[in-house]
Amino acid sequence: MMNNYTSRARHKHDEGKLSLDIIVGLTIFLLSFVFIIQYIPTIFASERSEIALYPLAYRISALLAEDPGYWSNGSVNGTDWENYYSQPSVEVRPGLMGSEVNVLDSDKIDALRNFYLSAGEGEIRKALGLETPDREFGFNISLQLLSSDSSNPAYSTNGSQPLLLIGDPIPDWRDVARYERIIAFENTTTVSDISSRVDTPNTVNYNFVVTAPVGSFVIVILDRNDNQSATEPWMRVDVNGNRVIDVYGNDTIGLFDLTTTINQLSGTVNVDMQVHNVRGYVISTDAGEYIGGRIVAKLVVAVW
Amino acid sequence: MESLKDRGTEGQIIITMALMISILLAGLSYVYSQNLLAGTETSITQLNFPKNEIRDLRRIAIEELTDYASEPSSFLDRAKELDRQITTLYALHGAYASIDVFDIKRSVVGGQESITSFMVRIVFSNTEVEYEETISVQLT
Amino acid sequence: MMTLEGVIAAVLILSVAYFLFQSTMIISPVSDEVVYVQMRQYGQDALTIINSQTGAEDTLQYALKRINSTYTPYELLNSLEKLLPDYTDFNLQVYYVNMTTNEIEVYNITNRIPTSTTVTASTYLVIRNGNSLMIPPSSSIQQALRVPMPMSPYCWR
Repeated sequence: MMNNYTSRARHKHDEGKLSLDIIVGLTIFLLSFVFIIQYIPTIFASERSEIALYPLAYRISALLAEDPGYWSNGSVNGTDWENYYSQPSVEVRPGLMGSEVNVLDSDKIDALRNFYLSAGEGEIRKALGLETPDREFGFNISLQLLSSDSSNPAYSTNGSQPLLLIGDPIPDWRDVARYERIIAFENTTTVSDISSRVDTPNTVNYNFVVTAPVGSFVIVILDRNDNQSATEPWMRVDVNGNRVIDVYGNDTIGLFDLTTTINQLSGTVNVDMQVHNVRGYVISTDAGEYIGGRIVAKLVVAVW
Repeated sequence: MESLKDRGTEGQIIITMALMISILLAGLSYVYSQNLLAGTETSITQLNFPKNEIRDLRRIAIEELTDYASEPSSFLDRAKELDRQITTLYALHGAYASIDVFDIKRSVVGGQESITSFMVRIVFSNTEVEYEETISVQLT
Repeated sequence: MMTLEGVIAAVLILSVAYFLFQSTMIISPVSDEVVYVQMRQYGQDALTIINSQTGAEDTLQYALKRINSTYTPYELLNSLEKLLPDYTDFNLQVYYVNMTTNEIEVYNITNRIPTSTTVTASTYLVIRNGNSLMIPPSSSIQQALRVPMPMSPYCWR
């Protein structure tokens, strides 16, 4: 039968017949080809959100921790944006750096918090470069204690408010990129609940009341107050009536970290100090831990 | 189209299409792997860029030389020794670093010599980055 | 006849796909590298914090001035433990230039063994007015030091 058909129609090339399976095969092929062509743009790096997010989080953390910020209204500019962010027609790039890298200025931290509260999320997003023509990134920027982690975030607080917590809550149903920087606060006094000098050649009683758990409670004795005096320095410290420190002479000079002792208790804790001939200070803060002579916390930037 | 139905050539279309699909598949996986490399290279760039080394170099140059300038008689010797040690230590990381003090201005006040200002040229160079800066330090 | 070509075509596509998927480049996850970036950042930041000039007992300046074979800087090591995350361990070394031989020498403050997933961070400092390590005191001239700190995550993810 085939032979008949082909021999009869051999001289009639212009019949215009297509066989069915050629058409079916070509259709299937073209459909899958079109599907693959549509699939290609999603493979490219800029569209894959997971890759684009990590450099973004790194960039924002670097901008905040390593740059003091910038403001400009076209003719005048400067780095003290914390004084100018609320003025109209002023463009601001936030930055938190104080005198050196990784050391943050409390005024700038407050300014960023107030900027977020007054201007809203959209303005901060623009200022940090998180808004592109085809995509808006969500963000969450906060200062947390060194011991905090993503399942139990413990924010740095001053009084009862977190020092810095801006942005939306972190979603757990999307790809989130998170980058952390360890930072120190420039001015210990402004972020501490208790920051009092202990400086006397005589015997004095000090009493402090804190609520456990605290971020840190340290007593730093730098030196004798009076080198000429014949009497040796000494210090006795009671926590809720229990004697925890009893030092005499040169043992008095040093750093005494009462954080863990206080955090084993709960509720209100009384710290009674009796000192003689010392010069130093007492610091209690919920903003971080006392390391290297400054209060240290971490800046956590999350984008999605 | 008639010739396509001859025996022996009908199947050629199928094979050709299969070949084209295979080439497409190989091409797409090449693009995908470039995508992965892009993520890796972003990280490697951050790991390698000597941001902190340059910062440390500037900090040491400015702070330590200012400290040395309080004793003018030994200033140049100590600056040279510091430069030598910096070059040796930065060479461990595969970089060339040096601090070069020049144009030292001194003043004599009441028999006491003191340094009023100096210039320092800071140079850092490794395989990817070259950094040079000249700073003028004024001492009150 | 057609069946044979169809089979050959199917085998061609399948074998290309098989060999491609076998290659490891496609399977390795992207976010692996960024862990190392964050780890190195922790080390760098931690070194910056303990390299402060405040004169506190747990700074590098304080510890390195007093270090010798009998003195271990416990405050410094404690602070580093607090600064770094729980899943990391670290080793702390000091590299310095020996004044007499002009060679670089290394002093191990801790003696832990790095693992295969180690990153290094380093900072530089100059000790002021201190006794040099291991060298007879001749410290009218200060030394510049490099403190590399390899860290390894014990467990992550």
